[in-house]
Amino acid sequence: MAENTLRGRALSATDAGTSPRARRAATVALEHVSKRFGDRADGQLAVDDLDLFVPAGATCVLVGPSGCGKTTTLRMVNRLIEPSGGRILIDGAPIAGRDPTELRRGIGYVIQQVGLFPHQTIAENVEVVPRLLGWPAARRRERVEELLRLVGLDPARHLRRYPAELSGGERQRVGVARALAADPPLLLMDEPFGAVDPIVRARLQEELLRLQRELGKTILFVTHDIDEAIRMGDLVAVMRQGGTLAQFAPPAELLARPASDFVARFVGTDRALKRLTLRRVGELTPASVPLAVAGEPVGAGRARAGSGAPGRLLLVDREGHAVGWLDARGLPDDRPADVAAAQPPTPLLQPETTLRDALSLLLDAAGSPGIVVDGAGRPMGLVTVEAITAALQDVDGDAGPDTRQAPPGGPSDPSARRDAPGAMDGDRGRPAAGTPLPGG
Amino acid sequence: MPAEPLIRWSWVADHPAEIGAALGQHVLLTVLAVLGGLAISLPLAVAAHRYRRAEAPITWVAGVIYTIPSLALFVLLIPVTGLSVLTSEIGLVGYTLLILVRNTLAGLDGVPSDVLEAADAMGLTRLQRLVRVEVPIAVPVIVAGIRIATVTTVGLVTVTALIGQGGLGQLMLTGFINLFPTEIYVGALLSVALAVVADAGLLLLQRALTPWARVRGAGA
Repeated sequence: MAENTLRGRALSATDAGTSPRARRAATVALEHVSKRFGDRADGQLAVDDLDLFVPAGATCVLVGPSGCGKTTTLRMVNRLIEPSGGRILIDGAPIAGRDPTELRRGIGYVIQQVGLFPHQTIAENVEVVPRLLGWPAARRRERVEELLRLVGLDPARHLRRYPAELSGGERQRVGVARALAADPPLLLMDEPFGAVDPIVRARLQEELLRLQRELGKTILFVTHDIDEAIRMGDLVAVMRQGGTLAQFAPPAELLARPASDFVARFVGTDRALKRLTLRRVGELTPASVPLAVAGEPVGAGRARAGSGAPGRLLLVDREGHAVGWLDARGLPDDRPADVAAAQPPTPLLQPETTLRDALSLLLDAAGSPGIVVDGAGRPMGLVTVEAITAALQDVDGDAGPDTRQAPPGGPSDPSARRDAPGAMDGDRGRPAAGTPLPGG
Repeated sequence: MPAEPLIRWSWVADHPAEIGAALGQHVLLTVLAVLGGLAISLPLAVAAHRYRRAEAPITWVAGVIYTIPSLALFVLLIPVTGLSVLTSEIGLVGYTLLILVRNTLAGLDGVPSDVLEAADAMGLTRLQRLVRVEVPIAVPVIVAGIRIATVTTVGLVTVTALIGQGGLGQLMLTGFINLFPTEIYVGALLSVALAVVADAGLLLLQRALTPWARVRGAGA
């Protein structure tokens, strides 16, 4: 399977005659863009003097209440709607002079209702744009199979089916595959996950983040859901009624320093908790952990823990896996550390656990520190509620208020955040096979 | 003198060519009428769909034609086009227009807006969108219109016998004139059978053309 995928990619890259798997991403700039509906000058302003710059490879989320002009803004980028004023540039070139159909074939588009063609099979749906671009059949076929695998669908099962035979989540995956078909440098997504249930939505969000790490497209993403905006965006543009920009900032900054009462209300009173979803346990410096090896004398553990002489020791087995908390108070130094007398080693945290989830686990554990373990279950250190609270203070302290409206420094910025320690792919390459899990 | 049976089978056996010719003429007149109706209705419906202002006049004209009694229409046309196939086809085609225009328009209007939005956003031209997306999705509703138009036309073609255009109506007509029930019933039963067969055939055709319309959601 993996070999097939690799071979498929090599072939399609050769066919394309372009550099293989080069990250193609475009910058998008909106300059004083406005949109007035109706012929008269006193018509309703849907978008009012909007300025945005989205660096190549960044995901920019437009978020706001209904009627804030976010969808109108999105649809102006592929000229489904023409702006009344200002201009839009893709890769520095104004789009106003371009042929709309030619422009659109180079921009992926995903909408909430998906809009698959009901009379065409999944394969035909995915290859719509390549067909318009005149790709030969063999290359289209290759590309369709590659894309379906990319979005987590089995080509053998889905190629010949019709959209009506798919679940909502599967349809939306096909919609994403279709948008990616001709490898466009820019994707527009209008509430793409708004019509699926919360569990499927969370999974699709996670998969889009994974895809984005791999593909590095520039994405403009519209949602009314601030949580989704914070989760998906490298940059978040909060819009308000009348089509004005309330704040344009990376999510962490939006939550730490909302620019106005409107933004503060919109992001919600739980914004401190939301900020915790942006950070992961791996970013903290864990406290050292008092270890004792199961079966060895308790005294050896005490000695290793040093002068603190903690009441509790974390028991590990011979391979170094955490197996339990041992209350060592009152135990003589020569007593072997006994797993049977130990409490379960909870809560266990992975480096990629969000601070929000970590805090929740710690609150549940009634004061016990969390054990950070690596992919093989070996303890790396301890994390406490205090450490998490301190981490929030850090963010408040380390950036000045001057940076509020500024877009991030360069194209590398967004991917840097995604590739940060604790990113979900971090533990993929680890040789998990053959490593016994703790407690076994 | 023995009572004349409803159908004298020996006559049927003796006149296969005559019956076959009448049936053939009937089928031909029907097919010409429906094809002619489609050739006129499809562009009209597309125009009405694209330019909504044209919708009311187009459906109004088609509706007016539909209300003219068939025999009256044929008679009115005779001074212009004579006792010809053209006369009967003008009438027959005219009666299909209302059904075909309405159904085609309904089919085109029924294409989901998200599908149209996706088609536009992927860079299909207006013509590509019409030919590759809108018309194919409208096919089940269009074919439903063709079925009604065909069955109606099969019935109307029997009337064209009165202006000398043959068909199964001619069998019935001579049956009436000669007080010979066999010809009347053969003509009547065959026209009924033709309507049923044509309707079923078109239904099968529609299913073959639109396999996607029968699948039902597995998940959703």
